[in-house]
Amino acid sequence: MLTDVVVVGAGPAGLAAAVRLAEGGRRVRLIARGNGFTHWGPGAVDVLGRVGDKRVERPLDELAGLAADHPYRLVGVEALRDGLDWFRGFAAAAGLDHQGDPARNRYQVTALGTLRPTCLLPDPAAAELRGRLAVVGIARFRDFSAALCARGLERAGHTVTSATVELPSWSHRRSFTAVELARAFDDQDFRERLAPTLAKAAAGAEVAVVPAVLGLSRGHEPWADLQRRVGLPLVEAALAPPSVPGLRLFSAWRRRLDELGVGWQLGFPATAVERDGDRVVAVRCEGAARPVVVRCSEVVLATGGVAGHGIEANRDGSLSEVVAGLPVAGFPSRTGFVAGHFLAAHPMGAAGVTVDAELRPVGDDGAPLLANLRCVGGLLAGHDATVEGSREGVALATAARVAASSGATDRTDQVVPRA
Amino acid sequence: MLPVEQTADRCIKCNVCNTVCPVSAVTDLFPGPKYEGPQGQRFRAGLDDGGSPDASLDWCSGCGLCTQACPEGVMIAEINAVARSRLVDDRGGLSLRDRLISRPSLLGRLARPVAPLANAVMASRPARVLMERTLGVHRDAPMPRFAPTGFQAWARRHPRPPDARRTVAYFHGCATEEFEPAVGVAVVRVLERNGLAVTFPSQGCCGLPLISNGDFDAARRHADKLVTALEDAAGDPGVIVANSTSCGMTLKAKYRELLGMEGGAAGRVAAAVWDVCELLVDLHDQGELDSGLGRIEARAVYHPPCQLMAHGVGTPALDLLHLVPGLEVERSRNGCCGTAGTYGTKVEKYQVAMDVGSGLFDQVAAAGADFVVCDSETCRWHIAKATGLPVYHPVQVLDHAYALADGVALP
Repeated sequence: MLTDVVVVGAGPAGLAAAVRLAEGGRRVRLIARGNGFTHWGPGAVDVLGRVGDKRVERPLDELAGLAADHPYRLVGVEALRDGLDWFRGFAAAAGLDHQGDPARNRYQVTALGTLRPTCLLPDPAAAELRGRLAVVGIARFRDFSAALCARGLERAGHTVTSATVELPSWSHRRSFTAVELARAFDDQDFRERLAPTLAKAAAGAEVAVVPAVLGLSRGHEPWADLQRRVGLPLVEAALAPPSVPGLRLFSAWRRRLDELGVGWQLGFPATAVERDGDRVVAVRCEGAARPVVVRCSEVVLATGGVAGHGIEANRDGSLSEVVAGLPVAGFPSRTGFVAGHFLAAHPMGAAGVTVDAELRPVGDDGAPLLANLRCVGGLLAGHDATVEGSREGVALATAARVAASSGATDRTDQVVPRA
Repeated sequence: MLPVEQTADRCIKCNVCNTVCPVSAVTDLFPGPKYEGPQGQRFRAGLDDGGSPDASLDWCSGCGLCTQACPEGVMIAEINAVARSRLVDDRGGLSLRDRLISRPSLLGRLARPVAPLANAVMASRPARVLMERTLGVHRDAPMPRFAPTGFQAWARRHPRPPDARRTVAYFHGCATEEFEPAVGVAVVRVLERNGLAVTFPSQGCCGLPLISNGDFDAARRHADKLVTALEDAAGDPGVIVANSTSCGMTLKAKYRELLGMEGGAAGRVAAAVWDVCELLVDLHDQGELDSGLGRIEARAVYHPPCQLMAHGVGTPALDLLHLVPGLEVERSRNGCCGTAGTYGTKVEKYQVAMDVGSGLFDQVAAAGADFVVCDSETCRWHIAKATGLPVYHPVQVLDHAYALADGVALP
C-alpha cells in the first residue's frame, strides 16, 4: 500500500491536515472535487469574529463560553494555538508573513469599506488604518470602486479621500480580472511605472487602501516593493472571489504538498468508503470510467458543510454526509434549512457531523462509529463558520488535533475512547 | 449522468476556473474558460444553427484544468470542446493542416515505409519553413521521428512468457506504433516482469486529435472502429492497458462525454482501460509489484500531463518513481506543459504553448534535473525540445531500474 492517510477536501482544513500529517511522516493522498475555500475567502485567518449578536474582540476569552459540542471546545485552546503557530511558520516559510494574535482580533478592510473581524492578516492587509486614508482604485477594474470603499470607511469613522488611477500601458487589451491584474503586478517594471501615479493619488494620506491585486506568484514581495516605491503603507482590501491573497496561499500549500510527496488530485469527488468492521480500508472516488479505489489505513474528511458539498440535502428533508454516509445532526424537516431573508444566519450552515474529542464521528449514544476516520473543518457540527467567523481557526485547530494523534488508530482494532 | 452542456447550470460564477487557465494567463486572445464555457453556453443553447458567440474559443487548448478545478462540477473544457466542434462545422470542416496533424496513424502509414527520407525532410530547415508557410505547422515545433519498424512488428515476434499469473491486453496507441516503439517494449517488459502476459489486439487511432481539433464526425468513425477492435479484449482478458495518458483518457471518458457513446461496447471498453502506472500501483497494493529496482542516482522532474489528471487516478507514476532508490523526483508545478496534443504545433499557437510551458522549463533548469519524466508523448516531445533534456515515460525509468537490478546495461 502506498498511502497511509487519505484526506478528502482541498480547503484550509484538508490542506492543513494533509501537510501536517505528511510532515509527521505519514504517506498522504489528497482528493478533492475541486478547489476550495482558499479561492473564495478573503485570505485572512478568522478565529472567532462573532458570538450571537456580539462582535468578538478577544477570541480566547470567548472559547469557554461556546457550546460543549463546538469544535474549539472539543479540541481545546492548545490545539488552536498550535494550529495558528504552525500556520504562521508555514506561511512565513513560503514568503507569506502574517500578523496577529488570538488574544485580540484585528480588522480586515473589504471592497465595501467594511471592517471584518479576523485574527491573522497577511502583511499586505495588516497595516493599521490610522490618520487620513486614501482609497485608490484602478480604472476599468470592475471589482473595486474607490468611492464605494471610501464611503464605507467614512461610515466607520475614518477620514478618507478616494481616487482612481489609470494603469501604465500593458499587454491586456480586453477587460481584466483581479487575477490578470495581479499577474501584471508580479512584473517589477509594471510596478515601477505605476508607483508615481499611485503616490500622487494618495498624496497627503498616511495609509493607502488598494484592491487586493498586488502580485500573484511572488508572495508578498510585489506588495513590499510597491509600498517602498510609493512611500506609505499600502493595505489590500478584500475583493469578491476569486481571492488573490487566497491564491497566493494556495500555491504555498501546493508547493508544500509537492515537497512532502503528497499525491493530490482535483476534479473527482470521493463518493464512498469501504469498510471492514468499524474500520475504513479504502476511499472510493469518481474516476474517468469507473470508481477509483484508494486503499489506506486512515481517512480524514475535510469536505466542508453544505456550501462545500460535504453535506447534501435529500428530497425527504434529511441531510447526509456525502462520503461515508455519516449522520448529520438536527434537521427534522427542510422548512428548517433556511432563515427568513438572504443575508440572515441560515440554520443549515450549522449542519454537521457530531464527533468525539478525537474528531471521530459518533452515533446517538456518543460512541465512535468508525475507528480510523476523522472529520475536520466545516464538516463538524456545533458551529457555523460563516456566521461566527471561525473558518480557518477551526480548520487549523482540528488539523492540529488530527496531526497530533495520527497513526494511533493503526495500533489497535478496538475503538478505545481516549480521555 | 448530466449531458456536458447542461452542467453549465451548476456554475456559480466564482471564477476559480479562470484562475487556473494556463492559456488566458499568457494571452488575452483567450478570455478564459468561464466566459467561453458556462457563460458563453447561455448564448449558444438556443441556437439551432450551431452558431457560436465567440470564435476566440478556438484558443482553448483543451487541457481540462478548468474542469478539474471547478468545485461545482461544471464540465467547462468539455462544453468548450463541443462548442468548438460546432465552430468547425460552421466553417465547413477542418483546414488541411488540422486534417493532417489530427491523423497520426495516416501520417505513419505514409511516412514510415520511407522513414529515413521522411525524417531527413522533417529535420531540414528549408522544408520546415516551407511547411510553415504552406500548411501552418510552426517551424520550431518538435516533430517526432518516424520509426523504421513499428511496434506491432516487434509484438508479433514477441513470445508469450510461460509463467504469467494473468493476462492483459495492450492498447499502445499511434505514437508507440509510429514513433516510439521503444516505449512499448519497455511497457511489455515491465508488465511481464510483474507476472502479466500481454496480448496485442489490432488497433488504430483513438481519434483524440480529431476531437481536439473539432471534427467530431471523423473522430466518431475512428472511435467506432477502435471500440470494435478492442471489444473482445474488454471481455477477455478484461483489462486493457494504455501507456498514452491522452488516448487512455479518450477511451475512458471522452467517447462518452463528447461523442455520446454511452454504454454498450464503448462502455465496456471504457471500464476495462487502465493507465499502465495506475495498474502497476494497483499491483503494488496487492503486494504483487516486484520492488527489486536498481539504484538510479539522478535528479528528475516529473510532469503529470493535464490529460493524466483527467483520469482521476492521482499521480501513480509519481508513487512508482518514489520507489526507485537514489532517484530524487520533484513534481512539476505546471498544470499543463503547453502543447496539449497538436495545439502547440500550429504556427499561430506555438508561442502560446511555449509561454504556457515556461514555468515548467524554468523549474527543470532550476532543479538541475538530469532528465524529465512524463506519461504523454506530445508533452514529452514538447518538453524535450524546450529543455534540451531527455524526457522518458515513467515505465521506461522503471524498466531501466529493473535492468540495473539485473546487472544488465541498457543503452
